[in-house]
This record gives sequence, structure tokens and C-alpha cells, in this order.
Amino acid sequence: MSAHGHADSPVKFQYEDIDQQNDTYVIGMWAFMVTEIMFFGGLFLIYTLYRMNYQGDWWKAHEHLSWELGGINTLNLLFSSMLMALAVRSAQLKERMKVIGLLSVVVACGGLFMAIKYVEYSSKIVDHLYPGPSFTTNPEILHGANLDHAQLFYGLYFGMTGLHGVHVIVGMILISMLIKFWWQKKKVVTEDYIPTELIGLYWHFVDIVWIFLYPLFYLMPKPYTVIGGH
Amino acid sequence: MAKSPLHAAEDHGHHVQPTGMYLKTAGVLAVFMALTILAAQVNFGEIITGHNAKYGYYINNLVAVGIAAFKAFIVVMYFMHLKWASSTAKVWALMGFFFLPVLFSVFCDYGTRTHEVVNGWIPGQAETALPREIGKHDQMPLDPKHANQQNRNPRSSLY
Repeated sequence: MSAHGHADSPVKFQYEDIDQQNDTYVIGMWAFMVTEIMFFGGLFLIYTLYRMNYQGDWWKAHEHLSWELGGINTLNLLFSSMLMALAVRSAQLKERMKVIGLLSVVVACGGLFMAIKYVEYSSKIVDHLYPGPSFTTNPEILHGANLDHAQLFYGLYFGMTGLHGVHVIVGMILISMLIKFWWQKKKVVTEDYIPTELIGLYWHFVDIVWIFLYPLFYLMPKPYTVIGGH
Repeated sequence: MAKSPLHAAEDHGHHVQPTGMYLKTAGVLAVFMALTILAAQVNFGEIITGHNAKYGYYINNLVAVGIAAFKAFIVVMYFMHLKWASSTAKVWALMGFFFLPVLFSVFCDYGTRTHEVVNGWIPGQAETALPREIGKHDQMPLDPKHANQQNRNPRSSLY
């Protein structure tokens, strides 16, 4: 007997079965993520354009960033992505307490990420590295980079990592809501794994953006114009 | 009696991957993260040509973005389960990563222009279009004593 149309079935009336319904949800989530890719893509385009023009100055300006802190955050997001994937697996197996435990650690990883970002941002703000009239003219902080070009670099640094940070916060809120629903044994999350999977997809997407941001901002190779001297 | 749709899906079992797969994926990602840090310390231009060649810098950047793209591919396939997703989902995912490089086709124009069409930032150069030789703009002077006057954007007075 089919469960179609039953109030207690997770399968909505317009779908054949749970597989088709889940596939539809996953496609919808990917459609959303395509818009996100283009959203960040515009910023990556601006980054490439100015990096091409001012690579020497950008390399000098980038020396003020801590690749160690960025690296810790990269590992941190990688670890949280793995836990998120394991939480989805537990959701498939309906292991409620495991899901709650794993998701809690994912939120904690997001919190650690933002805490490290806070440390990084505040040290930049103290050094007057936010673009604007009070942007620093201290050559030691700029590592000898041209002021205007360094401002562009830091404008994109704050813009791109900031936008990524907003995504991390949104992810943390969504995962916290998931935890709440799992804790309350809400049917919307417990009877099928797909809500957990969709929020997981979002979290992995945030990880992917950071995978590109980390080498582009923290690990710039030394341009030949700088190696060769003037 | 036919199974309910929900139970039919559970019986497939192809959705649930072993824990080891996720651990291995994370391991591969960690190794490639270490590789990208190492690759940034290496000057590929020097290795390939024996001196600091212009193209070494491009190779360095290609390696960095290449490793990032591979890591993204691993995350998409295994953490995001695209490997086991339907063809329609795959097409959607591919679309985003296909149209992003299309966006970069603007470099067909921008990358081949020899002169900047906007005015220069330095007051003395305000009337001339800037030559777009790569790295040319890095040579602008920065005298700490006069940094504020000399290197300031002339438009700063608007602030």
C-alpha cells in the first residue's frame, strides 16, 4: 500500500517516492549554490583583475597576514566538513544522539573559525589596515607596498573573507536549528535525512569557498618583480 | 503488500557510505592542504628555467588554484555526495563551476590591452594612460617621510 497523501508520510503528494523527492530537494539546493558560486565568482574576478595589475604590491601587503592562523582555520573547516558529512551519515541511520553530538562539534568549529577571524581582523584594525581615509601610511605595516594598491588588497581581503564569515555565521545558525529540531525529535528532521543533508551541502560549500580564499590571500607566491628587485 | 516509499528507499542502502570513506576523504584533503602550503614556498620558475622567469609565477598560481580546484572536486564528490547523486543534480552542480570560468572570459579583453583606459592615480600621471606591463605599477616610489603626500590617492581629499 502506498503512503501517498498520508499525513504521517514524509513523501509529499506530488512525488512518486522518497528518492524522487530527495533528488528534487538536492537539485534545488544545487541551483541555490550555483547562484552562490556566481556571487563569490564576481569577487574572485575583481581579485584576479587587480592582483594581475598590482601583484608586487599585493604580495608585499599579503606579508602582513598570518598564514599560520589561516592554515589553522583551513584545517578547522576541513575537520568540521568531515564531521558534518558523518552527521549526515548518522541522520541516514537515524542515530539521533550521534547526529546531535556531531553537529554540536561542527557549530563549535564554526565558533573557533570566527574567533580566529576576530583575532585576525582586530590586529588589522589596530594597524589601520581597513580601507578609508585613516588607512595606514606606515611602510613597516604595509611591507613597502604602495598605499592605494594595499588598500585595494585589504578592501578585497575584508570583503571576501567577511562575506565568507557571514556564510559561516548563517551556517552555524542553520546547524543550531537542526540540533534543536533533532533534540525535540521534530519529524521534519527525524523521519528523513534530507534536511540534515541540505544544510550539510551548504556547510561544505562554505568550506569550498575557503579552500580558494586560503591560497589566494595567505599563500601568494613571490612575484618575479619582487624577487628581481627594482 | 507493496513497501511504503520510505522503506523502499531504506532498502536501497546506497546512500549510506562507510565511515572510513569520510575519514579517507578528509585525509586526502589535509595532504593537499599541506601540499598547497609547500608549493607556495617553491619558485617553479627558478626550478624550470634556472632563474626567476616571469612564467614561474604563473605556474605557481596555476598550481595553487589547481590544488584548490582538486580539493573542491573531492569535497563536492564525496562530502556532498555528488558521486551518488542523480544526473540532473550533477548537471546543476557542473553548471555553476562551468559558468564561473566563463565569467573570467572578460580577460580576453582586459588581459590583451596594453594600456589602462583610466587616468593614473599619481598626480603627475593623471593625463597619461598607464602602460599595463605586469609589475610596472609596483615600482611607484614610497618615501616614508612624504608617504602621506606623495603616495596618497589624489581623490583622498574627497574623504
